[in-house]
Amino acid sequence: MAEYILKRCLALIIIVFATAFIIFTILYFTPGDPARALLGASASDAEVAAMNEALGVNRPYLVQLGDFFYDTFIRFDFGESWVYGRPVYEELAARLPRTVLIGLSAMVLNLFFGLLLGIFAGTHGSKWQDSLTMAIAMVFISCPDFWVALMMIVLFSLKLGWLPPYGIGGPEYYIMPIICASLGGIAVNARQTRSSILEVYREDYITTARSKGQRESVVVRRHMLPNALMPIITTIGTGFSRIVAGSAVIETVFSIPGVGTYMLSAINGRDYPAVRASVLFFAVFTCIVMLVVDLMYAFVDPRIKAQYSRVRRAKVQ
Amino acid sequence: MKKRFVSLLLALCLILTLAACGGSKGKPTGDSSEPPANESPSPVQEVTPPPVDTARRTTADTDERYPKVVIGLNSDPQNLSPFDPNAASKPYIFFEFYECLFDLENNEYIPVMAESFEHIDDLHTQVKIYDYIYDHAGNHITADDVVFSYQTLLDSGFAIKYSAFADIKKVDDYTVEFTWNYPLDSVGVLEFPWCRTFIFSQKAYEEGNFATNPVGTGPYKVTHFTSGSKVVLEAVDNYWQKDESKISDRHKAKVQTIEYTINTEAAQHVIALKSGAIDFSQVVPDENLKDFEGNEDFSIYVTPASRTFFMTPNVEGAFTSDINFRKAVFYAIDNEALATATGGTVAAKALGSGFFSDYQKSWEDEKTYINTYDPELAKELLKQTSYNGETIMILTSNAELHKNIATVVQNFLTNVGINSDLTLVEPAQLGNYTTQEGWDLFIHDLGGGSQLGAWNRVFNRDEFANGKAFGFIYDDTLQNLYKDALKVANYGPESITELHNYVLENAYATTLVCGKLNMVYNSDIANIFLREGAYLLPGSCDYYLD
Repeated sequence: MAEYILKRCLALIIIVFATAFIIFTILYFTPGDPARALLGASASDAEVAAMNEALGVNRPYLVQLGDFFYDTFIRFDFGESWVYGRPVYEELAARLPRTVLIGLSAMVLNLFFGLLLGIFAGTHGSKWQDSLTMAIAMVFISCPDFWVALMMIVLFSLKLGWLPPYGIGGPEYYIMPIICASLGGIAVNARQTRSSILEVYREDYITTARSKGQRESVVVRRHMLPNALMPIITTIGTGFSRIVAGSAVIETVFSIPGVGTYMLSAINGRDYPAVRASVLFFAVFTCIVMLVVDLMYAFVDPRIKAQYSRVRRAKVQ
Repeated sequence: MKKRFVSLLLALCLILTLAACGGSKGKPTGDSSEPPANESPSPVQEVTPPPVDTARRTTADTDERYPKVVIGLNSDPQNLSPFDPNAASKPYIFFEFYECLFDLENNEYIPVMAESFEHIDDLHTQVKIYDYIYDHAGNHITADDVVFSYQTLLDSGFAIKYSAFADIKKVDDYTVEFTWNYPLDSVGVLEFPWCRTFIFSQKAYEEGNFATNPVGTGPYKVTHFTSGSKVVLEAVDNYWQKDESKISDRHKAKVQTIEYTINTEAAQHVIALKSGAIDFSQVVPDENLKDFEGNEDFSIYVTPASRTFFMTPNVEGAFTSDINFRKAVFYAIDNEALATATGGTVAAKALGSGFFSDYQKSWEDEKTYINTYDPELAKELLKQTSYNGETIMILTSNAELHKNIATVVQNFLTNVGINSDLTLVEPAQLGNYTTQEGWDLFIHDLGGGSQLGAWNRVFNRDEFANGKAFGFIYDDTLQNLYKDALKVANYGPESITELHNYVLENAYATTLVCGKLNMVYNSDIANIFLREGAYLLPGSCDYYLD
């Protein structure tokens, strides 16, 4: 198992290096210059040229690439944002908790309600409860996040006056963003769970458990769910990464200064240090989440754990 | 089958329930005379703010401050460093807590931190500052700080419009001397060096981080800043300027707390106004203005803005090099319809915006291709060219308004037989395409403090790396007319009109629509104060106190 984790960590390092190289190269060859974005339309061409010189974006590709790798991986310095005027890591560190708070909370809701609805639908296969649950799930999958967000704002802020429409502050500011970020995931998880439950529903070991006289709730909890969890864990991993990486939409609508809006404004403003750091962050984050998901397989499914042990034993022999 | 039908019905009910949340017009007055939703409303041209109710007590009558006002902004200042004051929402916020040596009002330099100034000769000016200026941290501002502020700005690369500036040096503790690159014979030449350069303490700058915790000298200090979300300012009780007679209206503190909240979505501003989350927004969409009409809790003020949308042809283009083709293009466009179709703008009637004080209303009296829509004439002119249905390229930004304007323009051109393709680029990068060949028509927006200032990035070839004016125009007469109009000795209606007419004679450019500010605000605000006619200064507004 340790060997497996080590291998995955090595792969993570390679992925991070490759991502850094790719994002740097893409930005380097993207048309347009950052100075124009910074100084605006009213600046003369000479002033723009001087600013580009000051930013160092006129230097040769390899020189800039070398500096970037040295600063990022040796000095662990992402540089200073050209737009925000402060170190990128400071801005990321200030914004990260909000993005993670929304992402994690949405994920918890995804898991809880997704599993609940999925089990409910799966165990009521082909009945009206199943159809209704899946119809609701379909609606939530079909509705774009921003539209749901606006509808919620109209209802809860404007009509009912219960929640603030946007901004940051106390916990009440995060209720709508979290619900919006979770709805699509709940629906996906519910559908996935239902599908997995239906797959194991008529397996022999389930029939055996029932024939032993076990209550249905016990059958579901002890026999169905553990066997149905594998594909669900996969969607949880990708879902979590998607929520965090796609946070820009929710953050924009609710005006929450998170990593998503930071990356968005960095891209629009050609703020290369901020774009590079944000992309690297998302890459590392996704890799770690996927690693955790892989490790969870082993804990959930003893067969996988045993498989690693067998491989190790075979190598020793 | 029955179950599926029931499920489908339930799903439809759910969708309708959700959609119903947004279906209401939210109109507070219950006016039944509003046009049906599928009709295009005419754009609101101008709405004057309601008069101040003299029977009520306002902050103008007393030293008492209004407790708090929340301003909705649609862009993030991103940082609070004392540079680049025209970027994003900085012009709305910065002038409450930073100050410059002078303010600019109608091309006049009004002393703020400067006590006086004296032109020593054509290339040197001495400015004396007050000897009792202190910043919010209690640091005494001296000539050393002034020199440091200028040097820091120059080092940052944000010193734009600084062509006149050569150097600054300390003369004594409270006097600095500017050296100029050329005699100051042009209008507004010191706008950026004197009125857009913030002065701050060297000690405060070196000890702190102005990007997040700036220390200024203005009537407000920053107490909270979260980039992308909000900026909170508190009135300073010991503002350095104690002499009331020397405090201009721009530097008042009539409200105790100013909170700026940032949301890029205009629809969100409407909701925030209605729910009381914000007190002021100037980005309310045209179609939502009627939601606030007749509601005594809100006031509406619609006024022109400096933002002007130009369309400039490439005079070296295959077809656009022909003046008849250019005029055909311009006559084919109905600015009134364009403004109605795109919303948030008013039709241009001359080459500029009525927002500017040096814009001449008389320009609108003459029938020109800007205020005349004549597709038949456009077709006639087109026949006199070598154009034979080829596709020309319209270049503009992919920002929503630019894109909409370009799409409508494209349709107008199609109507007279001109085929075109739209090329959309990122807003921040649009300026880079001015000197790159390949486009035929370029739609862009410009603003500024004056009409001549707005024309600078169109007709002043000195601004461009290729030595040609926008649209690859190389015309000595145009350049001389522009330079002459700028000269203090010539500056006035005649020289500006001469330039305006010359551009139209040669069909070098047209103006399509002009921006406007759709302001809706809490009716507790008695009187709106706009810096340079465009930027709200909440500290200088008057508020009802009862």
